[in-house]
Amino acid sequence: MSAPAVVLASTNAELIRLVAAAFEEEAVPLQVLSEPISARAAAVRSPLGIGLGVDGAELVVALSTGTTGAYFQGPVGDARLLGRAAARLAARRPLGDFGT
Amino acid sequence: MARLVAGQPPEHLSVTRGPTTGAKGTAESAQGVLDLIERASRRLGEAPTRILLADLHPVETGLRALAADSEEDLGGVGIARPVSATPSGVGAAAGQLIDLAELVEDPLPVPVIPIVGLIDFDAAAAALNAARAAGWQIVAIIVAGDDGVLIGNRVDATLPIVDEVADTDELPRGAWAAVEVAPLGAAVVQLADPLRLAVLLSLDPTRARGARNAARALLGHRAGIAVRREASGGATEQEQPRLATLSDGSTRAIDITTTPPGVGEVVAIEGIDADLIDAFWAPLPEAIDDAALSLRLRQRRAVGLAVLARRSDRALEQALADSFAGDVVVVAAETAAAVAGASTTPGAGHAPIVIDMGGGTVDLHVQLDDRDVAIATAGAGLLVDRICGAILGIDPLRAEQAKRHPSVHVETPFILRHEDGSRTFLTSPAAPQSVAHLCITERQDGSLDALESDLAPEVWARLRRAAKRTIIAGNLRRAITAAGGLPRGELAVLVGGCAEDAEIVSEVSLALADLDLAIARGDVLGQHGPRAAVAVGLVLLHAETL
Repeated sequence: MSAPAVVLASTNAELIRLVAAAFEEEAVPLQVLSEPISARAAAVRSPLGIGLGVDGAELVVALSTGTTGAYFQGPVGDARLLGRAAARLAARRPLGDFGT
Repeated sequence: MARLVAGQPPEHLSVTRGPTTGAKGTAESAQGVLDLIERASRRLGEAPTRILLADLHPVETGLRALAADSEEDLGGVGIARPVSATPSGVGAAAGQLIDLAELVEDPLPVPVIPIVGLIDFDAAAAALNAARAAGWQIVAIIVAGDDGVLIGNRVDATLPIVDEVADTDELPRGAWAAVEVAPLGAAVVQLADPLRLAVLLSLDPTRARGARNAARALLGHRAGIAVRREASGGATEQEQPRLATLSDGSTRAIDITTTPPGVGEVVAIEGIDADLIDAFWAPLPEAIDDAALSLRLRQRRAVGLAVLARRSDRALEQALADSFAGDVVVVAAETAAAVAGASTTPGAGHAPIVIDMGGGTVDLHVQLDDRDVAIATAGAGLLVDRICGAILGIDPLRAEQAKRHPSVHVETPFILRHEDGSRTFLTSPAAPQSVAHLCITERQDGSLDALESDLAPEVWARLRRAAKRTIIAGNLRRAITAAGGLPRGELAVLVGGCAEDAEIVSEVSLALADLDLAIARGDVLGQHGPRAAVAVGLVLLHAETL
């Protein structure tokens, strides 16, 4: 059985560093996939049903069920804030500010 | 709107409601009246020729908190309660506050608590590790950003580190401070103990007892910061409550520890220039089974106050007469109109007891064979709004919605927990902003209104009901006492906006159970529910005079 984790699909080292920092701060497990898949596909691979992926200049957070599009998204430059919101979503804490 | 023809029963045409634009009876409220008439006229295709008014008395409702919410200076100790959900480490430590940038100097011979501003966590950790290697005794860390765990993991995961500390710039560098982080799920122990806090801050015995308020203010918090204020030297002066002067000449502080006197006993209130009919005040409610929450609510020293004043002018009538082409007629007192309107409730007949629970006042009208008593008490729906708003930290307009509608906690994007502990599942996800928040339901567009409050829905529901009980049912008790009691077994009809709220009706029924009354909600003209009793009553009373 897979360990519970949110899945991030990206090969961008700085983006991975920022998202991983957000997850470390929130003490939520993160699994990084170096595959060019969508946030939705990453969410389907996540035992917690939450995935992050890059779509152009946007970092997208998606759920594995209920909706096929982004649950929320924002500029890649806000990776730390978006990562924190995704981690808090998994931890069931208020997401805080995460831009648009 | 109604059509009146002499010698015929009134033809009731429409009932329309709109927001008020000022306190009852004031010139400012005239615009709301005119807007409403214009809207009703447009709908009807006909303009009225006469405005019927009740003899109104203005009610002012407000809320005053005597303590600051976030930062207090108590007994020479400044405290901060960081809101971070993710502090790092566990334990308490005391040391001298110092900027991170100063750690490049030679080490001080005392323990220090560095303050880390908004810089990258890797850079901060590197500077802290270098300082430790150089001999600095770092016993705790205060971080402005949300980086406590990240820094802890790179420096020392056992050090107490509080993060997301607002206004770190205002922490006095060089001052002696104490920091505590409690284990997950627990609350601070050392900072919440006045003696231990005094020892940590090296307060001399004359100031140690002054630390009790600061210690109490940190009770129930997972993390805290306490700073010794060198300049203060003792308890700071707190804002004093207003004084109410009673009819016997005595005074009573309007505070959370005092109760309002009987109806009409307050004759003057400090800072209010008016001829008072009644005054009523209420604190934030007690959270009966949660001592820490009760303390949090009490510490704000917030008191809602409603004042009913006698009018010395005819400002509303004059303002309406200046703008309205037809007549403006004052028909009767509000309670008399409410009785007439309530009596149109099917099955009520002539209601001997009418309770009008509106925005500003709770009015009791008792009309029996041998007596006819009308009592108006200050404080009703608007005061409940103020108290609910203060509990939730929202404005009174939003609080009005929170008061009326049930709340939910959005546990996940798909799961809602309700006030009774039950859960329901959504087919499409709730908005991200609502996740893990207490939310008001029943928005017109079906979305949830997310609140910042960390209250659980069941806790909020109890506080909300307590506010309604204290203000509406409590005020009604005052009115009944002033009326000399009520006859057992009689019918009491509830009208007014508050009577639409099933919780208020339930609280009133429970509070008056000992009087064995038949308490029923009005249904004006059999179609408008408990609202519009006064307006319809004015039409009926005026028709009798034609």
